[in-house]
Amino acid sequence: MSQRHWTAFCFLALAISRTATVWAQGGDAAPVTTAPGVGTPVPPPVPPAALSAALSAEELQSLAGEVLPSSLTDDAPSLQVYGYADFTYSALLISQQNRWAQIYHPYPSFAVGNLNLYLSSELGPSWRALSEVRFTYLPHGNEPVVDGVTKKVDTRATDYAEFERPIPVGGVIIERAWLEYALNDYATFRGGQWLTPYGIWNVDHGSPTLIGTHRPFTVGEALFPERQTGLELHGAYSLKATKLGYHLTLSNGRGPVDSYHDFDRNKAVGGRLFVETRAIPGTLTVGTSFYKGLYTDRAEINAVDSSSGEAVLSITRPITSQYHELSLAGDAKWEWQKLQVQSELIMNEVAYDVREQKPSLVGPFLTADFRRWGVYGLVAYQLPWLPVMPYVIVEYYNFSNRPEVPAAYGTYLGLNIRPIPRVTLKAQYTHGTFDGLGSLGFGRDSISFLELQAAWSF
Amino acid sequence: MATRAVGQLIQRRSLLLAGASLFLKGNASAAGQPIVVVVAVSSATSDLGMSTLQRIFGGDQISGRDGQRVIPFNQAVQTAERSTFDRIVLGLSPDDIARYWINRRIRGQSGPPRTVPSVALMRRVVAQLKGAMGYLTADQLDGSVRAITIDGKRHTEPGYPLNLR
Repeated sequence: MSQRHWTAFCFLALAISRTATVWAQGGDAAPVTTAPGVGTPVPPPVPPAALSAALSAEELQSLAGEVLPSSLTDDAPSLQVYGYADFTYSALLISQQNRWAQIYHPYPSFAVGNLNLYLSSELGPSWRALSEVRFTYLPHGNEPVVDGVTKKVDTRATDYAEFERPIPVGGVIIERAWLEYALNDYATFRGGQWLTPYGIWNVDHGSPTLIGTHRPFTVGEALFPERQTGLELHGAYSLKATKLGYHLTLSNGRGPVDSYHDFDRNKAVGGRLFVETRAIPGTLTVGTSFYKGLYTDRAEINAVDSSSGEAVLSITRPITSQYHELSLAGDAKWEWQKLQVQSELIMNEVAYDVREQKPSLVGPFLTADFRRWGVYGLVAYQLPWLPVMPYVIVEYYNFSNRPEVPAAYGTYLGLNIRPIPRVTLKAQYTHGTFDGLGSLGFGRDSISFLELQAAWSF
Repeated sequence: MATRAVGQLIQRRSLLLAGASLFLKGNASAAGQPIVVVVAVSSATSDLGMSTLQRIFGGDQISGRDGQRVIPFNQAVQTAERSTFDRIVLGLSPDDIARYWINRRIRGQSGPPRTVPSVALMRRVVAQLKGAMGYLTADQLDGSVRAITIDGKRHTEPGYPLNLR
């Protein structure tokens, strides 16, 4: 996005916040009505700082069992630390001769998949910050394919605190880190790294919240960027039982190191509009999202030119890969009593300016323009007398950028059990069949696997 | 064996639910006391729509016409007032409401309103903190706070949405 796009974004943000303020001040649907002349017999409320003095030490202590907002005291900002984790047993239910046993880890395994920690803070009136990090064993044990050879990454280091015994070193993934300012009820600005606000699954995000053991492939394949770094403006307007919400985003877009470097001047834009209504039985949410960006990767070539008699460093950054992408999505979710039905349809289209040469199992190839898309539907019903929710997910996807993976149909059958609100136990059977063979014949075989998962929040 | 265990579990849970239901009825509705939403006596707010009340206590940020942010306060977690309020206003049972807030926090959304551990403290906080809003049963009202109407109805009128009966 060029400078004029920046200007347009800022203008749009300002316009929305102004409009929202007008709604807030004079709109018929302003949520809180007032009664003129009320309250003359009593003194006006004391300011927040005085509340601390008005309450006894014992009362304050009991109140402090939960974090006090800065609006209650003028003390340091509150900090909440919480998170979630999951532990999964997964097993392929296919024979050793099945082609998919060559791709996926063929031996049943236990794994701690996510260990995510949140730091949330109310920094002051209207200011809020959130950080989420995931602790992972990776890159230890990762198996990248380089020139057709798989080589396991070994991060073991000798532990100087324990007689030089080898220990594997893991990593930390910054899932999100943002600061936001709520201008009013209808406009909140957010800056930092945030999860792309599209659809349902990407926002639900954490394993205790998600119904299934893993994301549908349509979501996991990141047809939209899972997270972006930049600015976000979001808000909602309510009219009785219906809420209309929006998100607008401006970011580095997708790139090789998009968390902190953009390799072009064209910022990515995106947005989401949704309607949530309780005007029908249950709650229905319908949304649509888009993302438009330019992916650019560059090499960096350093040279010293001494032809003039003076050494001059010359650095050039030729583009090695560049493409425009457009992603579109629609989603719907209906919750009625114990029933939940949801679906997402996601599309991503890529058009290259500079084609890159990509490695593959059968040698390097030049990437072509492509369109990939997928859709899934989920139906879940929580039993009335037990905290057990059977569910079924059906999915179809077609990722034409991966010739070795033919279009596929997936069926997931599972149980989601919440013995207590903070613990979720899941059992899921997944079966996939393929529409075609794919470039390496993987489509000849179907794939099935079982996952048992315990997810908990803390 | 497993079937028997599941059967016993269902039976036990049913008994618990029945007991909990009786407990709630016994505490919150035996006296027929409706829940009243309260603000400071001097507050400019006099009426709320039910959907706005849902948004305020469901985690959304809401301001009054004067621009003052509404700061909601909940009763203590295992009180009959809290359970009743969550059930009527948000349509969620105690287990469901716990999941609701856990899910919101994992999504990165704001957390629940803070809890005030006693009715007396609820009245004091609402009376003294600008923008504060809480709830009580009607018999807990005193002159320090003011009950507002919901969808234009007083708690003494038929059709009041927070009436248990």
